[in-house]
Amino acid sequence: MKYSSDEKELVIARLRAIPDNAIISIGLGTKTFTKDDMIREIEKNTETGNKIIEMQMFYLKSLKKTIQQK
Amino acid sequence: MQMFQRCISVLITMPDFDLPTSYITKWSEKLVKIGEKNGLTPIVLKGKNVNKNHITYSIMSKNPKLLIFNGHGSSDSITGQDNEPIIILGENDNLLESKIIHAFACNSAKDLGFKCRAESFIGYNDWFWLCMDRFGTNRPLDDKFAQPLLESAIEAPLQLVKRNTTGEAFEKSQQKYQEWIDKFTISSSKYTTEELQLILPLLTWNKSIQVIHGNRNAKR
Repeated sequence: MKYSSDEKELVIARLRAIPDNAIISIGLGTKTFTKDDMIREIEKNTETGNKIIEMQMFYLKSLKKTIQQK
Repeated sequence: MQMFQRCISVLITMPDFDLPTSYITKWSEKLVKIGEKNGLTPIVLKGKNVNKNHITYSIMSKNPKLLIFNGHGSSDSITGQDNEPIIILGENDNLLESKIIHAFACNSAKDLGFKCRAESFIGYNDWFWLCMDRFGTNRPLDDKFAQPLLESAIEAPLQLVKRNTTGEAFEKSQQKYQEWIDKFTISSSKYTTEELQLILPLLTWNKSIQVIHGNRNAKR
């Protein structure tokens, strides 16, 4: 899936806000990612980068749905 | 012999070779104690014993009805120590036939869980995400970043070793995810805004990819 530059920027902005001491295992993989690693993955358009965008956009859409229901 | 087989009724794998598996294994230790309290005798395979030979031998010789797999996975496999595939669709998935399965292994509910003819299969049909505090990785049970994600996920096998049905186990795990999401969304908590920005998307995603296949009334 290809994401727009707006979506990429939105997700990168969100990632910049997470704590510096956080590390993430994506897909329970052996490798862990810092927020800077994840931002690099998005900027390089890798599969992992796309998955990070997919996950964050899924959350934002769920949040929007929840707000609309209230 | 009948008594012997009735006692040995749950197999739990605990690989431990990287951060995610060390966290999941640590969080899964309580399953053993709670299983014992509920009349089960867990067969626990740890570390290098989580390999294909040991799994095959344990299932064939001891015939546990409930199998709890922890570790990594793919759409057609579950892996053990050092990522060795221990269950592979089309090769030895017959080991899962008529069993009750919980697989804490990414993607494995997608094809394997769907096609293995288990009586019931609870797992994940996409990538599971886990966040951790890099300064707290030596104490997985106290890692407040990991806690909401693992507490929600572990609820399903926890209900299974309490001898509830797979349907109940799945629903209670889903409820646990939602409780954390609501707690973070609605009320104030011990977490900062930045921490919530980290954890909430992961909780929402993991909840959405947890699935159950087969008979929801199955229980050990």
